[in-house]
Amino acid sequence: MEKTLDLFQIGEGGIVKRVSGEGQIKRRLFDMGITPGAEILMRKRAPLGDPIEVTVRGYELTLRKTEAASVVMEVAK
Amino acid sequence: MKRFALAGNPNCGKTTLFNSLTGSTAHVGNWPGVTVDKKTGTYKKCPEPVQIIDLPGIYSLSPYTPEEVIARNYVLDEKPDCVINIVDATNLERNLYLTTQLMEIDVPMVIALNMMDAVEKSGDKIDEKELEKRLGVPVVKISALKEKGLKELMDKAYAESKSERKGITVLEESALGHLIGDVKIALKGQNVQNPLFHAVKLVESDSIETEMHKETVQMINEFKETFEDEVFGNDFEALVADARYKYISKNFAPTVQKKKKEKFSMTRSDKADKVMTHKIWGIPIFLLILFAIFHLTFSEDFLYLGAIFKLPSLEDLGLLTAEGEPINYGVRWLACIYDGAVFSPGVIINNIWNDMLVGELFGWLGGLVEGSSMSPWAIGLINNGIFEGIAAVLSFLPPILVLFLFFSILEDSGYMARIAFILDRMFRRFGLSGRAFMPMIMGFGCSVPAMINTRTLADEKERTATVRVIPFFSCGAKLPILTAVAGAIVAYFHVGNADAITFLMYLLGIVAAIVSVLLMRSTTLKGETPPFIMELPAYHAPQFKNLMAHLWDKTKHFVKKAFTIILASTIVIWFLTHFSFAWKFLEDEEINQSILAGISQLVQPLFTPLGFGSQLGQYGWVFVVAAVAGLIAKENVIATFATLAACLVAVANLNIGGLDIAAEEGIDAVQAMILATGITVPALISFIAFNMTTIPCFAAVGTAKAELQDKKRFNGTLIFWISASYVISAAIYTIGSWWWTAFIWAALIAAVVCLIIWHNKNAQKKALKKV
Amino acid sequence: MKIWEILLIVFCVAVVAGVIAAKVIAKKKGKPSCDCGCGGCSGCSACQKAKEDQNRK
Repeated sequence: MEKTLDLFQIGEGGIVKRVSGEGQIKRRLFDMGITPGAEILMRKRAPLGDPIEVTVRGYELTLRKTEAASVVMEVAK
Repeated sequence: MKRFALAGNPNCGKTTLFNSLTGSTAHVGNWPGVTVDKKTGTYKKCPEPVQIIDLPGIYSLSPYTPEEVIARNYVLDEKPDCVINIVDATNLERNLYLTTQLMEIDVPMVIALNMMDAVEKSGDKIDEKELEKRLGVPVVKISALKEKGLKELMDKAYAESKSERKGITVLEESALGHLIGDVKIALKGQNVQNPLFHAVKLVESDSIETEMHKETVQMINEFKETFEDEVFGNDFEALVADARYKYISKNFAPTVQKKKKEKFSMTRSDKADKVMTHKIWGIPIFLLILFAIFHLTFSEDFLYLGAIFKLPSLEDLGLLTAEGEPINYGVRWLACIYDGAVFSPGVIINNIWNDMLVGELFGWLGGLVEGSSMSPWAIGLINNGIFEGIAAVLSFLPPILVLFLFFSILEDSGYMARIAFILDRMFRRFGLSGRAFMPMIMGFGCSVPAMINTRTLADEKERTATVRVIPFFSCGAKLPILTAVAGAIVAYFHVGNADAITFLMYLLGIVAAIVSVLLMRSTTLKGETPPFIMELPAYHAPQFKNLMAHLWDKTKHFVKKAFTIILASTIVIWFLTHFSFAWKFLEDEEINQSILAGISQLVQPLFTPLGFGSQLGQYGWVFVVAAVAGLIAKENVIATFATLAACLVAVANLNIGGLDIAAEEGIDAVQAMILATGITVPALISFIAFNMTTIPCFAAVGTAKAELQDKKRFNGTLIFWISASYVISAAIYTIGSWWWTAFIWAALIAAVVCLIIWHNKNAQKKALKKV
Repeated sequence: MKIWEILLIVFCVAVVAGVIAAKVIAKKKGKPSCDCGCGGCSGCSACQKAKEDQNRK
């Protein structure tokens, strides 16, 4: 099943299929290791529901929902 | 001299290594983006001295923020003799992503596997020999913190620097390998330095590169049209990033042997994080931590023990004489710790420093001068012109250090980055990203590094707005104004309590900053809210060595400042208050005929709406002088108070009863000013607010100028500071004096808000029509 | 005037002149002008860099 990273439940994990979005944000996501094939685990949401914290390539990354929405994921079973 | 550059991801320990190698005490913290500029130092244990350059952390060589440009340009243009690529061994995959890019540059390179102590502790193993073989670049295991492997690293780097190295790429096998090869040959034909690196960046359509090599772009675009990847289409940027990570996971990741098989296990850091950034408790915990910091620093009733248990005061215990003095030396010590309530640690340190050390020392020195056979003017100059000012400033060292210590702990533990995470949502409302919070917190220490740290913000408008409000986060030098005036209000008017007033003034600064940002982001600095993508570092216990280094540095500069700028300023002020325009020497009583009085009385009316202008009568100009002297350095405000108060005591024949101006951290000096001028509480609060929000010290103004670059923006900033301080102080004074003026202010604010909303709507409509 | 008083005046003039001179020299050399802990400051060479850039222009 495919869905974007911002829709993930806490504790849900998956594999990046592709990164949409444009320019700098996409570039930054790549640099931080969110590339196709990377495994991502949704860790938690900030107290006000946004941003989110994920584990990717063995470290903690925080990003906003709007940015997470450009990451298309394949949900792990 | 050979030059070695330290390059690596943010927060991988570059500056820690830099400090260990060069013996410097550069600022380190546990959050990404502490270092925003290159720093140089010397390493002496190689056959010849080597210059070490510490670069800001970068995730890739395609820069995104101003400080990343610095790192990239250094490696490319300044051609260091060797690049030491520091790799956080606990996070190998992402760190090696930068390594694969650095390898493409024609420069000798050594890889330092840092934080090996943490890796070994977790039971993982890294086969560095295998990694070295696969990378083709020497790899050395080190621990910058424990200073292990440094000698070996430097020897390797020194050996490498003697030979040249040609760039290699991991992209050769990828679908773009041929294109990169062709572009490289084309660039080589044009005599471009580092052809391989530029070729790869060109293929990635990096914006800086396409500007630089316009002719070659054509070639890539032609290729692009014929190329179609099944996953990425012809998005070469994605293709390159993907190829790098694929190569890393295939070739380098196997050199790590993880002890645990589970992929996402809970570490201690995760457990701490679960509490600290809890969905419901995250924000209350943050507020509690902030309150605790202020409570531990300023409260005269630690944990409210005194109020809860109704503890007896020293007077009740019969330990004071009729004049209110301690009966013996032991009780004097006790009075530093307890009087009807246990004092908080910050206050205890403060009392010991002031009552037992600074007060004693300057009291003794003053007595010595008083008893000497010098003329009255010389005694006055030494005691009032020199000692009072320095003593008043030095007396504030403890609270500044204690507050600074707590912020250093926040920084070092890794909590700072979490605060950004917690507050991002709120900050976004104001048009900032959570990242902007870090320079703001730094502003509590000093505005100068805080303004420089705004370089980590990618958005130019966000950066400008942040630089402008940073002075509102009351810095260490402004703290004396807060505590002295607040203390005097409590001592003289018997209202409120000093730590509450101090805390509220800090809050006022924060609120003023938030409102100003909101205002700017909806008028002159409109723009999209910048993205927020940030690494969250693992928590670790603060390093004692680090904290002490921070404190020592702060102390050194504070003392140095007291004996240079502040001393010179007080001497000048003393001379200006003791000579008339006709160069006649004036007694303390004749202060109103002085040069300084003459000048400041001219501008005094300007401050009438703020409560410390014409209404204060003939001695009211002292507040004006203090505020203006504060532009040189904010510590000057209190130093000026101390110097002028000595004259005022003589002039007004004030009877305060055993007034000791040097003691009580300038509180008595402010009391003398209150007596001489009859200034009211609202006006005093307005005075604090004015000093907090107006043009900061020269150093900060200079930094703002350098950071904003744009002349128009800088002038706008000056106007903003003046008008913000004027409006805020006027509001405080008028509302405090006549409560009903609150309605007028409310109406005014409502009108301004409506006007902005109306204006923005109109602009939107116009924009829509155009489309 | 006594010798001490003359020395006092000399001292005062020296301090004021010294501080101003030091500031001017520092500025000419392009050294950082901040007084609040440049050694521990995250951008200790920033003030210097701004100056260098100006000179280059």
